Amino acid sequence: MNPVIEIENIEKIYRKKSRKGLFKRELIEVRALDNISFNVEEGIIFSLLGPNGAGKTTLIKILTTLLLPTAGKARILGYDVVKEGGKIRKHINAMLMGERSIYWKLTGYQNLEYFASLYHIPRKVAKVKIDKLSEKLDLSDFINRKVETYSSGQKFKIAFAKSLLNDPKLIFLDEPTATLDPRAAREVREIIKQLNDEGTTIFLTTHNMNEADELSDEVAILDLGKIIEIDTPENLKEQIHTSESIVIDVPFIELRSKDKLLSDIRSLSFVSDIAYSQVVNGNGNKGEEKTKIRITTSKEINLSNIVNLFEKNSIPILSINQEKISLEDVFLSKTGRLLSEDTSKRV
Amino acid sequence: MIQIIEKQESFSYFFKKNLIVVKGVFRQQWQIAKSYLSNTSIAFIVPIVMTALPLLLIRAVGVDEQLIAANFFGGHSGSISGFIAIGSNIWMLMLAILWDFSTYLRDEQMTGTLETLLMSPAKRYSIIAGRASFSILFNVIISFFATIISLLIFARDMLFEIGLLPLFLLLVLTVIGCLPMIGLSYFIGALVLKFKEVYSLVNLLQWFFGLIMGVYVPITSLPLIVRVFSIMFPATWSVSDIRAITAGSPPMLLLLGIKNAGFPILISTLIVIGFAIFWGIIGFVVFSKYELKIKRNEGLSKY
Ligand SMILES: Nc1ncnc2c1ncn2[C@@H]1O[C@H](COP(=O)(O)OP(=O)(O)OP(=O)(O)O)[C@@H](O)[C@H]1O
Ligand SMILES: [Mg+2]
Repeated sequence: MNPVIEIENIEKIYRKKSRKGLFKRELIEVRALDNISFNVEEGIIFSLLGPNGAGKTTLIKILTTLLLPTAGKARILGYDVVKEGGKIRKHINAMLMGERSIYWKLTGYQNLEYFASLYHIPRKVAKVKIDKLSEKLDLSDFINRKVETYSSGQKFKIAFAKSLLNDPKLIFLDEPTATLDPRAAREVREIIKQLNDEGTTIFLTTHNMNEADELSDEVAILDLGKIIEIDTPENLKEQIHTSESIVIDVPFIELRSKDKLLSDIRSLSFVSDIAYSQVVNGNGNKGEEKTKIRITTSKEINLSNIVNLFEKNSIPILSINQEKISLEDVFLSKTGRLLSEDTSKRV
Repeated sequence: MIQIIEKQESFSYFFKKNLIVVKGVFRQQWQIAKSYLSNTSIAFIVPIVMTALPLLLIRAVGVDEQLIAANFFGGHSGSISGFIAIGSNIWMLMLAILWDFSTYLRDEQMTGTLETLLMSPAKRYSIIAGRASFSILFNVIISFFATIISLLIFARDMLFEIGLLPLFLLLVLTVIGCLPMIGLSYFIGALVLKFKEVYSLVNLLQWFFGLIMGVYVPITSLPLIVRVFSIMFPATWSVSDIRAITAGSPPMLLLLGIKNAGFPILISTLIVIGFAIFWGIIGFVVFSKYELKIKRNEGLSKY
């Protein structure tokens, strides 16, 4: 066992002063990480899965030496994140803000050349490296144009290439596919796998359970600053002793009468968990919003029982889908909420 | 446990490593500056306007310029137009550096690149050295040509009388005069990072700097309280000595009433270098202190 990341009782509390009137100031505390401990072994793909506001970015920033923990210890490649940041920075790399982490006034090539110099890579060596990366990530069509002319997928690729410049032993990716279209996201996942095959340990965050499932050797589920589960995706899914879940979409407007409906459904004998979330499609027009209800069930399911309950509560059903048990159900069973829910305002 | 064996660094390796950063940053700054090249026209036009305003007033009042010169320079004869033209140009140069460095960290923070920068193993001082060398070279070259143009317009006689050596000294003193401005501006930049609103402070400061460095009048004619700031502001020393070499006004030490100093310009240049070291250290210490504080609290990406 060879841990590249060792985290011991990490805690992060953000303290914000907010003005209350002219002279009064109030100190607001946000506990973003609450006593987190785990290790990440060398050579694996590790995913930190959690809803918005869970604390994923906060943890990555602490591990990449950009933020100091309020309490606790963390070691990267054996070095302490607080005291030995300089040594860590040499061997790791990260992509945190995607397209915002590069200079839009420069070309892709100029960006990479500049960042290479920050990693003490001489210009000639950098050229060879950039050419290789350009081939690997398929950058050649746009690398010599200014970044401001890029599509967001292209910007992303340059930011991604940047994080590979120093051949890091360990790379941190904060929601690497969040801003990409499905095709580009798939491409990125392939690259991540390939990178891992070549020996790079990968630590990524996501709130996409399918991505975590597909990519990871190990998944930690983070919710409200706490690790609630940590295991292989297979083991996590095995914890749920059912094999199916049903996803029902209803119009958003019906949310008011949800409580009665939910308790009705919950009382059915074959229902083990239930959760709902509001889904905003496309550009967020009112009409395109809907409510997603996810029901985890045991095997002996009676669909008409469920449909009847919707009818009784006079809530129209937009669609019903049966889905295989996924990490979403694991999250649901632990928290009673869906991953897509925003928890950042809860804390 | 993962164990990484670190190589012992020799001095020449250390030097080479940092030089790569300095060159990389310098190149990047040039590439960015190229996309804003049309902005540099401001650096030529503003000093001309700033010189024209007081000169037009003087000419309108109708006082003999030689008389003013005698009054300004304490009996020395010299060019009052040259005095003002050089003052305006050096002032603009100092402001260019002030803006470059005081907004540097804040701008990177707002675009989102500050974290990328701070996550890299590059040392802060080599990054600053790269930026400073570019900023000085770029702005001094522009300022030099802007000065020549201003002098051509307002003080042609004086321009043609300056020898090559004084012109060269002007260049050297200008470069040295920029050095303390870097540390001072970096210090202001660190403040900007912490108290986000300080952009307006920089805006205010630029006029204040113009007042205390005596752009239009000799500092001896400033009120005592203002003069205290003048003496503490490094650019006052630079601009006075540059004028002494070219426009015939008294050098800084003489303005302070120190009459019998041998090599007065050399001495005050050494004092400017002292300022550079002082502000360099202050800027660095204050930034490091704030950086730590910010890292402990909200993190550098917050804006
Ligand atoms: N600089 C800050 N100051 C105060 N609170 C903060 C700050 N940064 C984050 N928070 C709060 O800390 C909590 C965790 O935030 P964090 O950004 O780590 O979540 P996340 O899991 O990355 O979410 P997302 O999926 O939206 O990126 C949130 O409640 C957030 O509002
Ligand atoms: Mg995040």
